[in-house]
Amino acid sequence: MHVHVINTANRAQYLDEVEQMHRHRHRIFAEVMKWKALESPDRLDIDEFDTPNATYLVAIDNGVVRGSLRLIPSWRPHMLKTLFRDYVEGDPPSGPGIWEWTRHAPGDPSFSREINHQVRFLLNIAVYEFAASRGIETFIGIADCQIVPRMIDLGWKVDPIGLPVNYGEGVGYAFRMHVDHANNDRLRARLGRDNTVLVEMPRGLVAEEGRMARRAVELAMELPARKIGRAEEVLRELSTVDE
Amino acid sequence: MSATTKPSIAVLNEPVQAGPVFAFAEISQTAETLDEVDHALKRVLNEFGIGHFVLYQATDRAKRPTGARIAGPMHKDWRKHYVDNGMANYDELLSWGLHSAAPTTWTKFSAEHDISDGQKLMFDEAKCFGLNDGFYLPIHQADGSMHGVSMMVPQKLESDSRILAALHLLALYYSIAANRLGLSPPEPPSPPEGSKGILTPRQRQCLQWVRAGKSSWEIGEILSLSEHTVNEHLEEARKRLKVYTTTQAVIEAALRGLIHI
Repeated sequence: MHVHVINTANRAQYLDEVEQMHRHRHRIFAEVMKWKALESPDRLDIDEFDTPNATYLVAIDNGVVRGSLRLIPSWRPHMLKTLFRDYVEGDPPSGPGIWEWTRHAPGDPSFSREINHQVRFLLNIAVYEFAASRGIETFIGIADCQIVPRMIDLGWKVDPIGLPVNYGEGVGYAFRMHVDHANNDRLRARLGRDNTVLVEMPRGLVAEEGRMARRAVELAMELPARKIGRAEEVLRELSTVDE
Repeated sequence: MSATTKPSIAVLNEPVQAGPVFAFAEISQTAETLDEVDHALKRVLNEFGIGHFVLYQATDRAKRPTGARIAGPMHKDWRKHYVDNGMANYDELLSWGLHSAAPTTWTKFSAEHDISDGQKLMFDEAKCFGLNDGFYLPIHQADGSMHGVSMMVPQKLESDSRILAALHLLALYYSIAANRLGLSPPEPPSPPEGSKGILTPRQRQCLQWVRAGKSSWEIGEILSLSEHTVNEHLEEARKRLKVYTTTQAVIEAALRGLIHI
């Protein structure tokens, strides 16, 4: 299982997975967590922040979406600034290096324990890898009070920037988290995974070649070092085949 | 503050400043010892006029308390009253919290539930101590253990008020600190083969707390037992280990692997 960066640049390669993601989000938030405001007759969770400004990190396991989260730069419209301004004491943090983290949906109670464990860790590791790639130093968002101990267990330091507020189905508050890359090493050690988990496909590939290229990238990422020599041989043979 | 003078409790009025709570959240995540966190907690309790604070931890399946932290200017007076009268037995908040994860207050709980006479009596008696309302938050951990955090205050707690929100955050972050730093001491080890049955789990637990330097009264606080019951456990432990003093009993039990050194 890898975590894919899906944004406006490469979205065309992931049309099926993007729909799966919106359906999975509806399943988790409207059906499992029973957030009434997110119930939708088409059983897709899509809101006004699912725009070209959003980047999704999506855990994909052989074409099946196992979890996702949404990241939006703080200089674009986002929930804390636009919708839940009152949740924050003073001004919401904003500026380069600050992104909002929302719609965190790891796994599903109907998946196996092992898969849910993997997804939970992979999504968090992917957040650190993505943060490193974009120079993100701080994440902001709103957390349910019941989820915070789990976030802290995963090594995040969760600093409140607002007092808890009732939101109908629970109590949550606005937070700020500093990105400490040392924690990513601890998460990798706990999961027992030392290779890269994040896949970011370049823009410009069309659907079919995009799928092929993704598969090739995933295979290459899983290749053990001792097999690289053999893989190079195969590639050489392939490149000499007459077209 | 000396134990003989009855402290008057400050009442915090709205609007509540969030700054001290945020500062407490910071300390609870960075402090290296729980004592450091307790020190910060004491400051916030005074500032917010919280008369009595309890965090208890339940790790076993029966959800009996296995550890606790108790603080606040009124804690000795009220806690003694609570323990002497066996109030834990009819404190419905405790049993309700086993199956709930939402915060509540005495006012809200009384309005939503058909509470027993024993419970009413407890709320009424707390008022004699100047504690007119209480906040309770059950926190269930991923491993099946739980924390229950209770805070008692002189004023009525209105729902959706900032003071209620502030108490919620304080309770949450204290629980996070207690999880990270551990409520000492650890549970006694499981006894080695051949030593099973020498002491009961409660006797070992009491000895483990004696080892941690707690008095019988304090152990009673922590384990929700009366001081008398704790002394009985310790006396029985001395008999079974065939020693005369509690210090000898601690050493003997440690040597036999019945408690941690």
